[in-house]
Amino acid sequence: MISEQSPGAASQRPANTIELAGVTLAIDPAGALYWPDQELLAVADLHLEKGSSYARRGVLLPPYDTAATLERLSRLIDRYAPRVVVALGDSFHDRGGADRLAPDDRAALAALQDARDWIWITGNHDPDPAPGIGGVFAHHVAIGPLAFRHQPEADVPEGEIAGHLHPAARVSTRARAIRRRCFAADARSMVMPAFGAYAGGLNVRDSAFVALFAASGFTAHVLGEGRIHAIAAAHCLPD
Amino acid sequence: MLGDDLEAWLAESNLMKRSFRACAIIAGLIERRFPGKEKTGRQVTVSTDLVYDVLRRHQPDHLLLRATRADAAAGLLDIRRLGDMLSRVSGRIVHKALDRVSPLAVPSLLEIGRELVQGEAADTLLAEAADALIREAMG
Repeated sequence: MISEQSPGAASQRPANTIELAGVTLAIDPAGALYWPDQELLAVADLHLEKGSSYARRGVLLPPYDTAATLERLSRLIDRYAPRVVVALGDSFHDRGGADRLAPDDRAALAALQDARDWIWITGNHDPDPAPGIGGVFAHHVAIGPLAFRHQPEADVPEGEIAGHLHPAARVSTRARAIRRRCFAADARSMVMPAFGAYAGGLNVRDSAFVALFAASGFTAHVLGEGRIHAIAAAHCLPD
Repeated sequence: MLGDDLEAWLAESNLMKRSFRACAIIAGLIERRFPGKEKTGRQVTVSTDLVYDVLRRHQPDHLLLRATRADAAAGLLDIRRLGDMLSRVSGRIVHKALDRVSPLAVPSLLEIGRELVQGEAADTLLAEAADALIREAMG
């Protein structure tokens, strides 16, 4: 089910692989998915410009969330050198997000997009294609047996990879309960963790997840500091 | 030892994050939720920990971070005094194993377990929990 590698290799290679609809995928503790056969890197719910979105409503937060998120994404792109990057929707926190990108962040994003395909899946926060940020826009994209979309379908088709829900797991340990972002997955489909610096999390015990997965349950692949911990969702704690 | 290592460790610590939360509340950055107070509209659910991490990386000299450090240094952990003391006793430390707790050590011992230490510990705890559940499933 899970293959763990030696700690020394963890910084070079992903610690875990996961089988989904017969495809072997690597899941990275940073919250990203890598499909080696397609050289495809997927991230979900970047929520870029969430800080500035709140600022416009009078809630002032430090505006560096976009830079922080892009910096983490840049490290992943350096490591995997993907041919294709798929951003699974809610990449911008609101419709005007792409316009508000600071010049530095805009340049950083353009540098990441250089020499590779970039697919923006549209989400509920960013339903319209944004001009001037490069890449192509799609509601969903199917590649081989896998389908990438923002919002998981109620009757989940096999091979679906979605975001939107921001899964997080609360795990009881010897010392204390630990709450972390996680991948929620069974053998058929997966919900990816939110990647954005300011994105919150929804507990995997929430009814939204129950509807998505078979009665046999699903696994929370909990993001640790340098590795991923697979824990049956039924064993995770509610908030 | 009291150089950059300690500085880096402290910055990651819950102690600093807690001080930052207090500063953020005073600054009006976040609202404290009181029991009984109804949620009104869309509430900011951004945690101060996330804000702290982002701010620390991108504007380390921010006023709120300076206030946090000042609060923590004076109120919670007097690094300068500790540093002075260590350089004063340097070379004159007698290490002796006692068969009981010395009176002056009692306050320290009472603090053990009160403060959360971030880092590797979380991974170790999560791995233990995952292993325990696998063992349980395998019978």
